[in-house]
Amino acid sequence: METKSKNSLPGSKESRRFSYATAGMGGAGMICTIGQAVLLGLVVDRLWRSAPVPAWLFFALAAVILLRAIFAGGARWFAFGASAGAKRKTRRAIHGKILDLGPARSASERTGGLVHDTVEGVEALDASNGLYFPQFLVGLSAPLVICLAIGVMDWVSGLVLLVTAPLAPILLGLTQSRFRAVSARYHAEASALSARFLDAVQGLPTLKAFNAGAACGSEMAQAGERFRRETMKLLAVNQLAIFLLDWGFAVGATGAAFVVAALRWKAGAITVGEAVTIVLLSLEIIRQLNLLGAFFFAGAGGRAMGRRIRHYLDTPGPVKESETTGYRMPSRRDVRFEDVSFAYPGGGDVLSHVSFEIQPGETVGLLGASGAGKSSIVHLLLRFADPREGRILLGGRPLVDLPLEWLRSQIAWVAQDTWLFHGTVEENLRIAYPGAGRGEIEEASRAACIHDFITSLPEGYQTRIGERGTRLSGGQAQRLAIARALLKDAPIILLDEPTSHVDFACEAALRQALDRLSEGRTVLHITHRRHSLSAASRLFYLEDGRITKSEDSLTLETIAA
Amino acid sequence: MTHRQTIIRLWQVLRPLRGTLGLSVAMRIVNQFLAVVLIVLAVWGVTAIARGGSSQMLWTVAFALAGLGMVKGIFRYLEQFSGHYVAFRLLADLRRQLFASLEAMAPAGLGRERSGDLVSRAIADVERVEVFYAHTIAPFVVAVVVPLAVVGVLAWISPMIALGLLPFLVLTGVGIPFAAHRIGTGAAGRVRDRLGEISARFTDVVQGIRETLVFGYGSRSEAILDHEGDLLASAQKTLSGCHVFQSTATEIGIGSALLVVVFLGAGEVLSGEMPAYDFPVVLALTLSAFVPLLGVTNLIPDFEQAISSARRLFDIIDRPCHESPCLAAVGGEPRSVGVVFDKVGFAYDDGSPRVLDRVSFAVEPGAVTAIVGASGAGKSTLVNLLLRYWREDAGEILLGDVPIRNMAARRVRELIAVVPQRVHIFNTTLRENIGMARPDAAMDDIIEAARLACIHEFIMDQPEGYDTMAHEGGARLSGGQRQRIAIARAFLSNAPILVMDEATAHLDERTESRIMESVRVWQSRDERRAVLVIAHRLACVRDASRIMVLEHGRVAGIGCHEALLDSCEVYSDLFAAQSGAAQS
Repeated sequence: METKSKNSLPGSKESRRFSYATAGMGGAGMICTIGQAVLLGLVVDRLWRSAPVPAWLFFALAAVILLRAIFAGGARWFAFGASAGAKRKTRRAIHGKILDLGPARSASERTGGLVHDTVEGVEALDASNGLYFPQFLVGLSAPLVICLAIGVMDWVSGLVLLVTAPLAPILLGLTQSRFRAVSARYHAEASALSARFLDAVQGLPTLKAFNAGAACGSEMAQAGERFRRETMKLLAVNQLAIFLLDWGFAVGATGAAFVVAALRWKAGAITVGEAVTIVLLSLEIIRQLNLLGAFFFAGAGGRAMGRRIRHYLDTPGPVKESETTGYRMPSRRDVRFEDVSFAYPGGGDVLSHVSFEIQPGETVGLLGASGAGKSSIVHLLLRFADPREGRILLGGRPLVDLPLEWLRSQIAWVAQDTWLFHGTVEENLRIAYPGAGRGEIEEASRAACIHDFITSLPEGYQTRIGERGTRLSGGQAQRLAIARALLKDAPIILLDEPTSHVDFACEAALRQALDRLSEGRTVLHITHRRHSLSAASRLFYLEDGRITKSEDSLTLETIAA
Repeated sequence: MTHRQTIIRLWQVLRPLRGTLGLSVAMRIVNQFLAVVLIVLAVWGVTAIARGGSSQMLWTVAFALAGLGMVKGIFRYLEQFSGHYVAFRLLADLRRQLFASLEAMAPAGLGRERSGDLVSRAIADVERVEVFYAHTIAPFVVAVVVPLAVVGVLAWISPMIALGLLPFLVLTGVGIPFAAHRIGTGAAGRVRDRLGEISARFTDVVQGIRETLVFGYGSRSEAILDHEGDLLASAQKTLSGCHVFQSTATEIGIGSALLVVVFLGAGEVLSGEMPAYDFPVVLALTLSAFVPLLGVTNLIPDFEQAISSARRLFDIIDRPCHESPCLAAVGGEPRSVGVVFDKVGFAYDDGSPRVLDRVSFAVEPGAVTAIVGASGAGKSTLVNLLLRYWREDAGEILLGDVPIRNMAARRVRELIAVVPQRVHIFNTTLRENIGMARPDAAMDDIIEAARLACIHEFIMDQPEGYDTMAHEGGARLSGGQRQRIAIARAFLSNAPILVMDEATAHLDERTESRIMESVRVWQSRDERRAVLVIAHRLACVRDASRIMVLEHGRVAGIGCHEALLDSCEVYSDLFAAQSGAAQS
């Protein structure tokens, strides 16, 4: 089934031009081959009559051979161009879409599959743009062009051999529809296998701890076995098509060409040389169609991947970039939730009718048990998703009217679990403030109590932290996150359990750092432990997605005392 | 790994399927001979008719062509099918081996690997290797056998022409592919490595999407990807140049051969050494001698990539594994399940600071033992050593009376259930996420474990209950819910030693104390069960029968809460800091 998407992939216009150029080269090469067959026929005729072969025939033959070599190289060269630009643009577009969809949507994507489609799927465009499509044009026109050439020598032979022309479209038509479905399934399976492999590799320590690694490995092997059967089934169809082509052309082309050539010679309409030319030309028809068969598999795969990628690029994002332009950004930094309800797609309400506000420079605590909906508030404020009902305002302006990048640049967020990118400690800190000097980075690390640890590492700030910082303890990762927030220096601060893995000796120092950070800024501090709130001037309780209680700081202190 | 070593390894992997492959090669040889016969027969037929052959002969040749065409088709079908059968069987096998090696290495051996790159190896590189098995071995054999046979037939017609053809066969069959190999080999390696790198980058962006957006890292990550894309494109351009060179050179080689044959053949016909009617047959033989060579020469860039991919696979599969020397159990079965750390010392790498230094303490069966200490003191490292993810440099760790280094790693892990600091939730149902701890567990056992971990009610509130998907990394679960899933896993596993590494950090106090109560209930069911709690919040550990205080990788004190308050300065400082914090 064709997807409804009519949009073509980025850069496809440019690659079409290269595809046509490739096809043109292929066609030109084919004409050279026709020329070669005709010239060889002339040579045969001369020798049949024991006449000497004139020098110009040799030169003409040499010229045709040289030209065909050039066209063969040219076809390869343009084939490269047919996908080089498109691949780059398509990857860029996918990258943009990943950012566009954000964390709310990517939860339902499977990273491994997406990455497979982005990398290998895009590479598959090579086959469809550079090989299959041009050969499709050349292969389908080959019987016509060659019969025309034969027709010039002897119109009866040309006309009779024209019966071979529909063979290719018929055979392709017979197999193509079935083929497309199987090849789409094949690629879906490769994607799924990638996703599964990534999940398993990232969960290896857990699998190992429960001795479940072998079981997981054999489960994947079974999936791989299904994948293999799928592929073999696909190939059985593919090869059957090739078999039919092979046989059909042996009979239809070589056989027919032989019979026609022999009969026409007997009728005295053509010379021996022309008869040999006709047989040799029938070989060229077969060669062209064989090439089509050979690229069929890869080409269909490339087109299936193209459809998957287009489908992904057509996914609507969960939030829309603000369309209002020319406004001045709000200068006040107060945050207000007005009757906000929120649900993830296909789920029940995670937040219902939540209203609260944070004054500029105020610190507000948000207290709730695990799963009460605290993190959803963070997602909404950063516009990873929009509320189902109600609205959120920053400085009196609805969030949906503010440019996304500006909004996110105003908020420093210390998350429960921080993502550390592949790279050095310094690179991971610098993400928050690319222009930071070494001094600023160290200062932030000191304030976050992580400088001493970093300098104790063999290569200090240049130490590479493995993926997800596997060598770091939870507390160390959290302190890096705090250092990042300090470096970002944004007017609004979101603290989401910033110290859950940090020990108390350190927490006291960190709290000072956080307090200093909070000074004069608008702060929302989310936690499930009341005593980790320090400077909260007001406190809200979140229970099952509703705000059930609020207290001001006075009563909080009274209770603590 | 050199080219030759890689090819030898690929050949070794082939062992169980060499028979099938041999069959495939034989069928390809037959198929290619039939192709030659078809062409030559058709041309010979024309000349025979021209020499006065009868109509009956004409139809005999025509039916022979049709019949041979069908036989050729059948052989080609079987050849392709068996070739691919071999290839895909081996690919499944390579994937299995790759995962098994990764499993054996993790996590110690995987510190520098990037999971996105590993997936690229497991899926894309393995697929690339297919080219070697399905499209290299048979064509190479055929490319040697068939042209030589054709030259043999030609020599029978005219030794001179056969001799004239030979240098061109060597040039296109050996010279040009070798030159293409020299041009393409480096670029092919770069292409595979870049693709792995791009996979890793994309994985980083997708999984780190929150940080990418919040820090405005998107445009920079795009620039990095563009740069990687350029490096990939330039390597592919070189490979493509290799293709261009090869196509052009091969066409010229074949064309020159044809010219030489025409020249020599014309001379022989005119001088009367060869009858004129043999000349078209000689032409047909010449043209068909090169067909099998074309099959090989066009494959060189793909072949180079297949070798590079194979190298990337064997790089992982053949890597020596930390655990291998200890896979065989020599120490026997421990008689009790207490754990003793005896003067354990450890550093992650040579030259990096010592994480543990002469750490000695015991985890007694029937009791709750706790470890406290600042973050980075080495607490989690103790767990890593206990699970045999890494190996202690000094001292030893005993399970009962047996050093774990003498036990099978599998057996050690059977006895220990861990709730790690960083929980991994698999992208499958909640039931399977808990059930993975014990594959034979009944649904009732899973529910019981979930109840103990205080997560049953939450699960039942989900639209599909235990069959609800957890999403990647448990994306729709809160930190506390993820931790409770991990706790349920540990309860389910029924291992006699329970290790909880900051397992309740994301839970509110009420849930935390309910979980600690569950731990007591769990332990009371069998007096031999041992519990080790690692925490930085003293509230979780003050009831423990023994507390070990760890500071900078050294034991700063061992004892019960009261005793430590008196005797251990580090502990009393920690306690003071915390009670101070709790009151502020």
